[in-house]
Amino acid sequence: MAKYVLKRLLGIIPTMLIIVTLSFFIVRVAPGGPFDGEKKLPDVVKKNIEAKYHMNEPLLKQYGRYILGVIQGDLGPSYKYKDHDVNFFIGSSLPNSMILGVIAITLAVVFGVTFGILASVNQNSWVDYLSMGLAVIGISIPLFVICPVLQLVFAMKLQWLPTSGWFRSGDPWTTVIMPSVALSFSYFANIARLMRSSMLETLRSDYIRTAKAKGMKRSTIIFKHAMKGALLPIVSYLGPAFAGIVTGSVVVEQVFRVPGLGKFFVQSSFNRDYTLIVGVVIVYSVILVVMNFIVDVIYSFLDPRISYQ
Amino acid sequence: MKKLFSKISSFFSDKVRMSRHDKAEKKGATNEFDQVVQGNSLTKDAWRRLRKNKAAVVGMCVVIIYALISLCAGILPIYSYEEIIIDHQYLPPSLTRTAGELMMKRQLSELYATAWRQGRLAITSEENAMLSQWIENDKTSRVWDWCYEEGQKQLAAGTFSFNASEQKKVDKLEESIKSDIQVTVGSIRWTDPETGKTRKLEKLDLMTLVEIYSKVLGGMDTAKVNASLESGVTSQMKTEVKAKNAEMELTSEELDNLVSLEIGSIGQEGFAAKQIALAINNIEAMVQSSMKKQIKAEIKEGTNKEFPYKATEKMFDCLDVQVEASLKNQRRYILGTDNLGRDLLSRIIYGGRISILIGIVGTLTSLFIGIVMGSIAGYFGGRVDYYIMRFVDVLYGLPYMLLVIICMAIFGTNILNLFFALAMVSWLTIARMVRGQIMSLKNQEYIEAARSMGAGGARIIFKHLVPNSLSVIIVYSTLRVPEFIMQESFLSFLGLGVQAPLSSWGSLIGDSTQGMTNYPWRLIYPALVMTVFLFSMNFFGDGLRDAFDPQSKNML
Repeated sequence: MAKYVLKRLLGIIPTMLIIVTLSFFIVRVAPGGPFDGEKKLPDVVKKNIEAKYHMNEPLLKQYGRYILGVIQGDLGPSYKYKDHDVNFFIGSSLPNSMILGVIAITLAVVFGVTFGILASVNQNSWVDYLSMGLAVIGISIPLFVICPVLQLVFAMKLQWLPTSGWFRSGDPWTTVIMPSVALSFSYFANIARLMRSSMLETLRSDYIRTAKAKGMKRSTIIFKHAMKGALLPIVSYLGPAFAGIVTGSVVVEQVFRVPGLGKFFVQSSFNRDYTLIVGVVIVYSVILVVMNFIVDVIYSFLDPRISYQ
Repeated sequence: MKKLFSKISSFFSDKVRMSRHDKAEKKGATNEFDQVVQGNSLTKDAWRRLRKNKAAVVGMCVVIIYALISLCAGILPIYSYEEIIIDHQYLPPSLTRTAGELMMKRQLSELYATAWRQGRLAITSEENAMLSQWIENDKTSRVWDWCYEEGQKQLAAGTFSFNASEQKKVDKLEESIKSDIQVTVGSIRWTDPETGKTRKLEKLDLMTLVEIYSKVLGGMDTAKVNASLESGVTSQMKTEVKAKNAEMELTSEELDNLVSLEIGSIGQEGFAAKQIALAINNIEAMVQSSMKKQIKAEIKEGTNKEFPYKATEKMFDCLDVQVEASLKNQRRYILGTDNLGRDLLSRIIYGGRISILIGIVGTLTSLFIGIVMGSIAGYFGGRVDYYIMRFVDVLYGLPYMLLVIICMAIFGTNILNLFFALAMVSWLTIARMVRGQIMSLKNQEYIEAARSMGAGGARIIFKHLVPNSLSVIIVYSTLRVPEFIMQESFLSFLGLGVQAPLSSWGSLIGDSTQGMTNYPWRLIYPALVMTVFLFSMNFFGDGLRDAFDPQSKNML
């Protein structure tokens, strides 16, 4: 087991290296730089600026310098916002994104699993149809439609919730409701569908029949015997779900004006703020890779049939 | 003679008998009771199952309707999707009322609302409080509607009247609603007076364009015209440079320096290209305005013009112009207009065309890459398989949508880039699937038979293996199309996808998020159209999967 965990941990390193390298070079291959577009700088000034940010060195040397910095936890200075470095931006905006993401994934798992179990236990009843209908809606409607529609209905027409803003004074938690619900909706849908089908399969298996024959209570069978086995596909779905939530938060943060990482990401891509782009990508990928790692470890705990090779 | 005839006839009857026999033989497979047994192919069987699935059939029909509409968008009787009419900004959707009536209503509501503010509208204090409450809650449109109703009533009853300047406004609007003409200029062709050849304006060189322009301007000196074009381009660039450096306070001297730098950097050819573009633009504008004058004069003289009016007119002796004229305020916008007065209906239709096109072509591209990579990995196995699959695994771990966003932002946002960026990252799942299929098929006897007959790797893969795994691939790819559309729209929503004047569902929704309270139709209709399409595509795809693989029905 320890060997497996160690191996998976070591596997993270090349993935991260590829991500850093890819984004580092993609950003620099394109024409135009962070100091173009503004007033054309006199050559001397430009040279000085480039020397300050080490941009006059050969690309490979810059790359090496950057990698060294990243290993030490320094993501470099921002090219666009003077006097601030990337660590500052990430430090101030990451917590907001994390709160949003964690709430969203929790909502999705809790409601998805509940609805999936309800649907599978009452197969072909109204509960089943309701939850599967919700699931189809969640899968078909894209996030960027859900967000403005929620805003229109609940904030502007009904005026139950604030339109946007993040932890506004007064009643702070109401601002979190809409973004997190919107973000979690399609993952809720997928989890509900997955849970229903895997529950149905488990409920038909032999050991459940045995449990029934022994005269166990229905609730015990469902929660103690069936659910444990049926949760496996959900756990393996969590990896892609995290990836989707990370990307989706870009939209949600834009629509609901959440001061999170996503906002910086799109902005800095337009600004060609090289270090900020690569920094945000690194943070996102670290989250993703670590989450995938945790999911894998949990999975191997839950399902002993998986060999640790 | 008789003999010959009988011979011929017997020959023919033989033939007839024989062919009948053949047919019976071909009908072929009979069971032990001599009943004809019909074979059933996989597709036939799947079709039979698909037909039973109501949701899938409805989905298929909807998808076909969408496809037909977007195919026929060019010949549908809808307004242009890129024509900007500033007067028609933000007109609400209406089936019965024309743009003019809606504009009139808007003007009147505004006047009544102002009158209410000034206290000239006689209403009770309760009503007054209600209106103030609405204003506080940001429900301006409701206030306007209410004021309109009330104002109309009071105007009819004679308890309220407009003052002189207001009356003038109303009259002016009424006049313009009656008579305003929108002239659209299509392609302009120029006939060379010497050779008699006709060519499009875009294909002419600068000298000829200058000549034409001077003629259009009423025989101005060509040198003067050329000079004016030059200064026009320079001032154009000046505004561009100024906009680029909006945050810096430039002195006029610095600005001039920058502009001359910019001119130097685009070179003589770039400058000439800009001049040509400007000249064409100006000629079009001149043609448009003089056409408008002409038509108005004709109407005044009493010539009866049928609107909409479409014709190719000869202007300034040498230009053939395709003209389309219509009474612009008689238009009906079924789904309303957007912030630049463009018809939302046609923008949705053309947007759908682009979204669906990207969905289909993107899926095909990713299918192509995925099939090639997957089948090579699956068929050759060993080291090739190992490296391709490791590569796929690593790419799987990337937050690829983020990389697509970076690519779009940095390499420029045009459709081709969008499409490549999406296709490059979406072939992974297909490659994995095809690999699995091919690995399970490659040890079958018929492959061995093909190999024993000397077929090479490529032939076996593309003639035997891929066609046999095609049904799985097709089913999967129908489920890919909505996902592709979602991704494209996601990027367009962020402003990284399709650029104006083109539209896509995503960009329409993205644009609509500003001013949602007052113009909700701009959000609702594109969202609805897109959701219906995604719904039906998902149902159709699910139905197809169930039909081709009935075992999977209860799986996901």
